[in-house]
Amino acid sequence: MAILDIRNLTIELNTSQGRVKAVERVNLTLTEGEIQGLVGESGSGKSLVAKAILGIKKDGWVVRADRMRLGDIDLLTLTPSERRRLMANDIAMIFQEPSSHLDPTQEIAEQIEEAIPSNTFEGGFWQRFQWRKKRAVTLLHKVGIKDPISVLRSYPHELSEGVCQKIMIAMAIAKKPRLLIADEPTTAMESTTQIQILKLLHKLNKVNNTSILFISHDIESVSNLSDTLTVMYCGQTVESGTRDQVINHPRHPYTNALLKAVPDFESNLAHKSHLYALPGSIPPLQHLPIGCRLGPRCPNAQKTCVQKPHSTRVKGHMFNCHFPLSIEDETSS
Amino acid sequence: MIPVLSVNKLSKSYVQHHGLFSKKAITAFAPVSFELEQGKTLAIVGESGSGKSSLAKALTGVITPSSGSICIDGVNMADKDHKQRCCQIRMIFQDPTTSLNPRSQIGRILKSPLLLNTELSEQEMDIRVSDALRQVGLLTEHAQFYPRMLSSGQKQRVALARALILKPKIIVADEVLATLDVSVRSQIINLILDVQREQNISFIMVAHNLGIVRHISDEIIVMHEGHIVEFGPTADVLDNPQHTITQRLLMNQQVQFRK
Repeated sequence: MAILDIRNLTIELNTSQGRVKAVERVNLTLTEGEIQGLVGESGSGKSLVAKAILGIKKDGWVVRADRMRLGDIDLLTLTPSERRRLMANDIAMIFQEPSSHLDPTQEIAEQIEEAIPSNTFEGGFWQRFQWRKKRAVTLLHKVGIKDPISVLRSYPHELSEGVCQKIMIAMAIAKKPRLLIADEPTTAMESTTQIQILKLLHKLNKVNNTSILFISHDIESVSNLSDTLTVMYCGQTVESGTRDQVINHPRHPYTNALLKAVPDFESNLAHKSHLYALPGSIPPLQHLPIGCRLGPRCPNAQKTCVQKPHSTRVKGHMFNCHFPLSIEDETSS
Repeated sequence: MIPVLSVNKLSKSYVQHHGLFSKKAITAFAPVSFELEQGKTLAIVGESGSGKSSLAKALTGVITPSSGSICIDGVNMADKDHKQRCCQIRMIFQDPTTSLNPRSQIGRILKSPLLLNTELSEQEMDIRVSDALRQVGLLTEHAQFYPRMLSSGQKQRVALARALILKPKIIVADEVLATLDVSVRSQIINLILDVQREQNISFIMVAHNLGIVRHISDEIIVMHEGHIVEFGPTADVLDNPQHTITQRLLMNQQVQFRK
């Protein structure tokens, strides 16, 4: 069953240049217990989507959607207080740069104990004594921190980035959420810690059956972890499908470019030869092209690309392109 | 053939004071020696805190090394002043948004190394600036732009133009590819490869994505806690890693969660 179901989500921002459609008609479906990767470069609106799901809105944002459901609850018709209760119980989010999201003036113990909701207490009244503290220690154990007692007594600046991210994850899973949104949790980390965090998220997904929406700019790391992938470009979904469909048989030129741009160990590219690159750069929000937003950079663009392409769906593999790459092309090139 | 850069027993250590009387020496990197030929790329990889950034900074003269010597074309750089060193070896910094002055136009940013280090006339400088901009795939009109009007990829191109404008022999690039988006990153890699082929410049790249390192570099240094643990041709080192640190780095690159 789909835990998260979003249809035609549109987010408009009021800027000094007028209203800009930062996210245009994005569809997202997350089934229970799966890890979905949301891939996009900077300015693709992937963080905006995450914020819209959580309901964190700033002034001047207009969020519209045809359908937005979490399990059997319709998120669009909730009052703000109901929405907040839902956010507290069912959705958790972890952020980029964990050390900046922890309070630098408080010890870790206080911060974690604050994040443990009282309704998660199990047991009789005689076990009440210091239960939060015990719970904090078990939580830290769960996320793989070897020495929880000394970590609990330290301040965020004394800990490394990887440990801080683990603490953020411990705080997020304290309330046993149904959906965990990870917004670029591993950027600006070195590869060893990155792998630890990814392994931890994978373990959480397997053990607790938590659904994870993993947002990242790096298709390499996401593809390893996730079951399904959605690729975004400039606020439009370009392609979504299972990992195998998107990685091995990309139908959209943008996904193809992302995959080809990364020289990996298996590729038989000549040493120091040119890498495959799309021309141009990502357009700023004020100067978005009409129709398919990849249009001006796309190698296969033609006249019809000034109209927004309809989404085509083949065996659950969805792509928005007028001239999708076919499998025959792929094998010949 | 004389290597363009030869580093001999270069080291850097800091002294940290604890209280009034006690002090502790901290080694950023232990004595390292290596050589680099013209037109080749050397990659420095390692975990954070392994001293790779300090080594890059010591090579360009941002920090003064504690001991050892750096020779470019057989000339010891310690005997030369900063000006001559600048014309031989240049650096590109990690984050292009903070390394360009937001209050001056691109033209002025590119002109300032010329003003400081050469005796060119105003017209010659303008020609050099427009040449450098064209070399990195920008337009001459971009000289009138301010950094905030450019995208991050274009800013990185400007940073490369600033490094190229003095026609150096060696360019040191400290994690320049880490902050870029994937589609822009391959453009910059292509640009660096083109520049190297045309002008026979040697590059020293500090990087962490081993896939890219393998593609663009000829030789590789693996550092751990200030020591060089492995040094050799990239293909040999990465295909057949001898040291556990290199093996661990490689393992982290290709983790499979499911088969």
